[in-house]
Amino acid sequence: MRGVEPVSDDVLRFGHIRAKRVNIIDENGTFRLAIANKERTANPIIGGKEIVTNRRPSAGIIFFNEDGDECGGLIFGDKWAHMSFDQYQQDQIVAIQYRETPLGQHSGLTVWDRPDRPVSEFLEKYLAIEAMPEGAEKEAAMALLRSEYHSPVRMYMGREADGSSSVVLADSKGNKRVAITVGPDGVPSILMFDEKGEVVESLVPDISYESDCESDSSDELEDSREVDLSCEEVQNG
Amino acid sequence: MAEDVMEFDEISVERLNIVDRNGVLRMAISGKDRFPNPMINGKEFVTNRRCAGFIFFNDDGTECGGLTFGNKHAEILFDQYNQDQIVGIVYSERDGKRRYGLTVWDRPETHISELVAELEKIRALPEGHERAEAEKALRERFHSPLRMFAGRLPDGSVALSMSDGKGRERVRVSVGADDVPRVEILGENGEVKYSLSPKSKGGTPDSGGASLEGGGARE
Repeated sequence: MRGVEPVSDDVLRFGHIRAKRVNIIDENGTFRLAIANKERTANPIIGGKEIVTNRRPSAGIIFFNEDGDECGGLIFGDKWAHMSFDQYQQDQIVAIQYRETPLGQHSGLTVWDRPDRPVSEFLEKYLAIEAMPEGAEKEAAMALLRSEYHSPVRMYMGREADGSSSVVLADSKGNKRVAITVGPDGVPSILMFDEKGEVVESLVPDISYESDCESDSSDELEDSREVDLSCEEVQNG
Repeated sequence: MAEDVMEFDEISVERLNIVDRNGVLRMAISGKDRFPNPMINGKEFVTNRRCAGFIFFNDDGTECGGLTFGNKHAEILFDQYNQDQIVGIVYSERDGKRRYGLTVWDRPETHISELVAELEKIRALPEGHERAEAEKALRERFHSPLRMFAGRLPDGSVALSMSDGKGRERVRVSVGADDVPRVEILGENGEVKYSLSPKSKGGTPDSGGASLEGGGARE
């Protein structure tokens, strides 16, 4: 082969390789990362089981932990890019990402809480509930499941779609409680909110903040993880 | 296709090295069994690290960062030139307690190989008072304080925290484990100099031990 030189018994040197997918494996064959184009992107592996899904066709790198379970990734497309790490046996807890939306572009660092229970358990329960006949009982079971596995965004630091830049912290229920912001109008502020999203403390320049800030103050922190593995996407797949 | 380009549909390897034409290793992508040792100016230092991921090397062949992960940890880190990590996103978990977020460190100007050489000398000393003192002095000389953290702490709180050059936390914006938001400015000894926290609603502002000194500018 031209351009290939043996370096030692089990090391080859190439000038340039092109591949649709490169797997990096441990000696025992466990996948540790997969670099792939969008057609061959790795499926999630959860609890040792591959989950066949139609999520992301996106190019990039998927990480797997010592158990062989997916534990994060670095993926990108035309108007978005994303790198995240997952909590052990759970979903993503910290991410740096960029995305363009119809409302504007956001880019920054996001931090989530995840339950202590494994995501594989959630998936099993979810599939069992999905199989129930339609009706109030099913809806109640689903609502309970969602509350048991609630995974609120706890922090966002970056540029928001409206053109502001902020550091926003939320409580364990996902309610926004502190926001340090320079608004799209250039006005800086430090605001504190109660659980209902009402401004209870503020530090702002000598102008009224109310017109700017109260309108969106009751929102939960936006969960902007569309591009990555979320349980919903797995289940739909 | 150029004659030195090989095309594959899919390959599986235990380690992939990216090298400059002169053979200098610039990046290693590896599973745990062939994971590279740290290198300084092309010299390898044997350690027992066994994670998987990427290690980056600069033009000199010195390790300058990496993206690595295992079961209960993951990190992407960039190093100061000829020094250690200065910025990164890190997740670590121990006994069910998790810490994750963006971290920024200060590093000394001194070349890390000097630190390694001195550390080796100290480790050759017999255990005892002299060795402990030497270790302490070395640690002070190469003090690398945490300057900034943004993320979640093991107690379940989230915080943006900034420290001075000695590593003392001086500004902290947080939502505590008690779900109470606080903005605090701290003195050199950790005392709260100024604090903004809701007084009436949303929990118990004083439960975090922060005294409400100095009032607020809004008052």
